[in-house]
Order: sequence, then structure tokens, then C-alpha cells
Amino acid sequence: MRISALAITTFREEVRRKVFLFLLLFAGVMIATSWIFSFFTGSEELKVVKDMGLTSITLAGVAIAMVMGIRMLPGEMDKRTIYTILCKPVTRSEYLIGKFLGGALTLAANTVIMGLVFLVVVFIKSKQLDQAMDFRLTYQIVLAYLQFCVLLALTLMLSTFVTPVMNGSISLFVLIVGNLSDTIVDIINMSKSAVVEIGLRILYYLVPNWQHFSVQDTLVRGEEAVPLLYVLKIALYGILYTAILMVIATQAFRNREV
Amino acid sequence: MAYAIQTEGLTKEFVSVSSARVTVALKDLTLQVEEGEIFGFLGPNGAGKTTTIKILLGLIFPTAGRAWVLGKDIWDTAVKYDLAFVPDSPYFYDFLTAEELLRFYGGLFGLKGSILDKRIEELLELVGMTHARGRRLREYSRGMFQRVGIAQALVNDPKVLLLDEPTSGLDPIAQREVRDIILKLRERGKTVLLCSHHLSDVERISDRVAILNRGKLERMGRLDDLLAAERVEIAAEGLSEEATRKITDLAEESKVIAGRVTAYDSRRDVINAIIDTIRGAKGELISVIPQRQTLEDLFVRIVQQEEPAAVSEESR
Repeated sequence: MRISALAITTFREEVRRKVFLFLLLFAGVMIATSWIFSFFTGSEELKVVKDMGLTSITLAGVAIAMVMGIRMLPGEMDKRTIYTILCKPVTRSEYLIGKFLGGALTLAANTVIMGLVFLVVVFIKSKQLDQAMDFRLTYQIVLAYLQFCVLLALTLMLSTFVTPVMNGSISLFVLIVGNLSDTIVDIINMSKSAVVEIGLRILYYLVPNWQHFSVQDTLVRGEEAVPLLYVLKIALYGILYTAILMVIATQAFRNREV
Repeated sequence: MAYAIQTEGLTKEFVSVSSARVTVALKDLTLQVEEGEIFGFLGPNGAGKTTTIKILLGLIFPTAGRAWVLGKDIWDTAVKYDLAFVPDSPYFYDFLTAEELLRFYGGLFGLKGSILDKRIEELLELVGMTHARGRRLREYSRGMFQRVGIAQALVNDPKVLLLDEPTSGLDPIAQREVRDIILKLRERGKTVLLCSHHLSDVERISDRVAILNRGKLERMGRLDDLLAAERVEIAAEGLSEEATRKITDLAEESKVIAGRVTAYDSRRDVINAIIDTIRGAKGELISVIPQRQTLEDLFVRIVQQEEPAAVSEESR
């Protein structure tokens, strides 16, 4: 009850914050790409539309999740809204979980709208080019959403003990390193220094492997199938990662002075 | 009977990690607020008022000491049902209407259905916001915002209210309206701890006050006791030049107009010495009038008598 009241109010507040402008921008990019790249031939054109569309969804979602997670807690503390909530019978864990769920709901709404625009554009293009519509593209949209949730939990967790600037820097670092997981493995294999190897291994296991969340290349090329089981496994990975981050966040926030 | 609020040796130190500097925001605060009273909690900026409130609300943790609300330790979750807070110039979700906001805060107490509906009706009426219930908060004036702030604090009918500067930034009419709401709350048996820089307001409605300065409790008591007879006005005539000079030297403040000497002092021994001087000089004692000082006089005197290099900050 308390968590849902917090989640719904957070969702309504975030929706109001013009994050939906991102969606308009995104829709613009989507529509533009389908015409700009019309000089490509046949299947190439569709690939570009799919690639740019899915990349746009990921970039917009990552940006929204990070901005929301970094700003959520300090914003309420600066404005003293948090005082009026935490002095009521709301535990700090309930407060954080409510805020997170409200943010996750906002991301879900954003992703659904972006995904729908994307699927409609792909559908129209497929029709024009006389090709079958590939609904497995939704796999990537679902995985991207889970990546946004992990990022939201990460930034929210960091905001319980670091400043917004530090939070932005650390989460950006995690975002970059997590996208280079395969490269890190290569470096570990080539490394001759035990210290470097241990350091990189810690980094590898600590930082979420964002590459797991991307089946975009496989889907767009259409050469290999993406099994549903893989999607489910990665979904579980994302949910577990989010849960762990939220447990750390609630523990850190319990002892934080506000 | 338990006190509405009680603190014992409450101390809060803030440690700056970068400069290793310790700031004592609150030092050994022991106070009692009785049930059903309006308690003025005063002090200049940085005196430790907000720190005390934050400790009572469980937002920050005391370095030492304990506190109770209605006999329950502040860390007892049951306290959250008895204690409510209205912060200084808070931001509420301004995309909500007053009714939606109260519904949200009521939801945090698990209130719903007809019980919550009835409660919202009562509160909107109490704070005089029934007419604006459907308007979004962003369209509200500051006074309306403050009234909704008080309403949200009362949503579960708590027994003790902490109000931090409830009249700051309000025009005189709105100030009066908020003051009237606070008086209505006392009539309903609520205990109100009122932090305010509007000393005339506090003087008008408080039963007791505490004055903090640099984290220390300087005075606490009933207003009548604190403000009465602190200072005495003594007027005399027919005094020699020597006696007049002696009196003006002794008194905190004095004036001589057309042969009448009027002296003011709050020290009992000096008052007696002035009267003795008048009698010894065979002067005519016209009047000895105990002067009730204003809360502002008392406040300024307490704050100004404190040495600038007090114990508020210590380097470690």
C-alpha cells in the first residue's frame, strides 16, 4: 500500500518532467531514418531502420534511467519533500523501493511507447519492401528495458552515498566498462601481470555485462536465431542484478542522515 | 503523565570529513514539552532548532542523549503515528491537487475509502482550503501551500506537531490565518512545537518557550515567568547631582528629564542599591514599576550576551 502510493506518485511526477520529449525526439529520428536511408536497396534499408531504431531506444532509455536515478533522491532531499514522507510510518527501504518502482514504471511507459513507434515503422517498411515482419525484435526491447532498470537501480544505489556528479561519473564508467566486457576478457587472457589480471577480473564480475542485454546484431542480421530461453536467462540476470543493487541501496540508506 | 516531547542530554556533532572539523550543532539539550501546549522553540539561525526536529523525526541520529514522544522512544515506529511535521517552505508534488496530495499522504498511513474521504473533508475545512481542493498545487499562493502543508501533517490525526517556520514568507493576512489554525489545533488538544522567527506571533500564542543559542538551551519556561519583572523602572525626583550621577552610573539604562531621574535595571542588587541611594539622598521615590519585557527583548538579550567565540565549533 505504502510502496504503491509512493510508486504511483513517483511515476506521475516523472511523467510530468518532460522526459517524454525524448520520445518525441526518438519518433522523429525513427521517421527520418526510414526516408533518409531510402537510397539503400531492399533489405539493407530495413536493416538500417532496425539498427537505428533499436539503438535510439537504448540510448534514450539509458539517458532517462540515469538522469532519473541520479536526480531522484537528492531532488527530494533538496526540496525537503522527503522529510514529510519519512516522518510518516514509511521505512527507508519502502521509500527507496517505492521510488525505484515509480522510476521503473516510467521507464516501462517510455519503452512501450518507443517500442510501439519502432515496430510500426518497421512494419510499414517491411510491407513496402514486401518482407515479413520480424516480431522477435521485441526481445531486444524487453532486454533493453531490463538494462534501464539495472541502471536505474545502480544510480539510485549510488545516490544514497555519493554526490550527483560523482554518481554520474561512476555510472558512466560502469556503463562503458560493462559494454567492453568481452574486451576485458581478451585483456585478461593476454595480461602477464597478476595484479592487472586480478583487478580486471574483479571489474569484470562486479560490473554488469551490458553486452548480454544486446541481441540487436543477431536480430538485425537475422542469420542466427535468438532463443527465448536466452532472453529469459538474461532477464533473470537483470532482475537479480537489480535486486542486489536495491538491497545495497536500502542498507546504505538506512544509516544515511537526511 | 508522559510529556508530549522530552529530550535528555541530546547532543549532535557534525564531522566534516575534508577538514576534520567538528561542529557541535546541539549540546546537551534537555527539555520537556507538555501535552496540549503550544511550545515556542526559538533561536537564531544555526541555534540547533532544525537539528533537534530532525533528531525527533529520526532523520538524523544524535551523537548522545535520548528523546521520547508521549513516553515512547523516538526510534519506536509507533511514534510516527503520533508525531507530524511541517517543514519550512516545503515542496509538495505540485502536479497534484490538494485533495490528491492528502490522499497520497493518507495512503502512507494505510488510510483509504470513506474514512480517508471524511478525513480529507475535515482537514480541508480546518485549513480553509475546501474552495481550492480541486486546483493543482502549482497554482497556489504561498499561504495556500502552507495551509496544505499543515493539512498533510494532520492527515492521520497525530497528537504532536512540529512546525518549522509556518509563517515565513507569508503576508500578514496569511500569517494570521496560520496562527488561527495553530490555535484551533491547541483547542483540539494537540501539542504544537513551533519554531519561528516571528517572535510577536510566538509571544501571542505560545504557552511556554525555549530559547536556544549556539546549540545550547539558554532559557525555558512559561512566557509570563520569563517576560515578567525582568526589568524594573525606578523614577525619582529631588535628588542631588551626586546622587543622580551615582544612579546613572549604577543603572543599565537611565534618563534625566527636568530633574526627574528614571533608571532601568534587571539586577535585583542594583535595583536595591538605586532605591537605597534615592532614600539616602532624601529624594522622592515616584514609582518602582516592574516592566514586562517583550519576547523580542529577551531573545535579543540572550543572543547578544553570548560571546562570539563560543563552543559552537571546535577543531580536532
